[in-house]
Amino acid sequence: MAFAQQPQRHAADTVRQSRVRGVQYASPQEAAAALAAAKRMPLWAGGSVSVNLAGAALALYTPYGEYEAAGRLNLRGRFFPTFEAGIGVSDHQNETTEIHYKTRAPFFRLGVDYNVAKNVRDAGRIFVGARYGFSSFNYDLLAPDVPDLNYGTSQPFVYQDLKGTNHWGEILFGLEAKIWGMVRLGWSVRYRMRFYNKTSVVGSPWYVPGYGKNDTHSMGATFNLILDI
Amino acid sequence: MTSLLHPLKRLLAPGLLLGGMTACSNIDCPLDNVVLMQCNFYSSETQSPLKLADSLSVRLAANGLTVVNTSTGVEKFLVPLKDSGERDTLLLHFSNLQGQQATDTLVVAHQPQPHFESLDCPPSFFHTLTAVWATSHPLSEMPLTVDSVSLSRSIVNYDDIENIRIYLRTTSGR
Repeated sequence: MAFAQQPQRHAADTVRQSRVRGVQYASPQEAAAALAAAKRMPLWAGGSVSVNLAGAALALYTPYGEYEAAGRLNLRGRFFPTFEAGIGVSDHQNETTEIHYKTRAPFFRLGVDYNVAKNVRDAGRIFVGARYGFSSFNYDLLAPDVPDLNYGTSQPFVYQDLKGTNHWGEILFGLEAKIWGMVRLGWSVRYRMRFYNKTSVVGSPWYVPGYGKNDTHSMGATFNLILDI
Repeated sequence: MTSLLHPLKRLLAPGLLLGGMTACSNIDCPLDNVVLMQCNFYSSETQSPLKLADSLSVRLAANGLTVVNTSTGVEKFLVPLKDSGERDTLLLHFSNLQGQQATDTLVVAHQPQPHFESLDCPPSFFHTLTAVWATSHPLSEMPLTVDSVSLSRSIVNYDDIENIRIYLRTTSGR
């Protein structure tokens, strides 16, 4: 940073000098460097906690969903190490097949978001990120007896406390905006890839807490109420 | 107020669009969700696939249910296995235009396994074949008989893939 050049004793310069406001720099390069330094945030720039409103709504009104909360750190406004945890729930019976699926189990995700916005001090943030997810859970599978029409018999299909374990990865894109004071709202859309799927005696679980419908890949979304701390 | 609504609009519009996209769903069940064992015919002389010139009927020995009803030109047939047992016996009835007929017996040992595909799909039983054997009749009775049988795929599921090879012996070399 440099101060204004020494004023000359000419009348025109005196007039120009009187119109100058704020800090001046010796060169555009120095001005840009000073601006960058001013925009730069400290390594530890805060943290936040959040809840996923979309997951809760899905849990209440659809066949499955998650009650989920998250905590994250803010490093220089760019990197946001994040830990997400919640309870995945499903208690649903298909109207046609009358198969009832029930589980209620915890899940965990660990990852990091990167803010790609040009100015990290902006009220809005644009995120790309990645997660590793894990859930170990029990589930019940209840269905009407399975008829064997060729032999005129039927077999019960009732399985309780089946064990499931899944590991997966996620890549995400998200936006968030400051709404008022420390309160933010944000959403993310996520592409999930299954790494490991433990099968039981009857096959794969239908819903995996924190992952969604069990498949080699799935899509998901969150809508978060965020509180900066 | 304007300064509050502006970022909210920008934030929520794509979120609502994404919410609408994720609200779509489809029926998660294979079109072919019937579990059937597939048996294919082969010539014992040439080891190549065989199409029967004579008529074939296949019945379940346990209850006489006809699975294949007097068909000609048969290369393979599909048959259901018992969910509640570990052995099925099939009666293969051959007949020809000369009025000759004979019955061979095919016995299949298997382990039923309950299978859940998804909530959209009825529960079913897959099977793991453990052994297969068959009886033969004299060629003088009917010049087409089972020579031998072998397992080619032990898993019986929704896939209609050959599970058992039935090698037939003839006097005419068909």
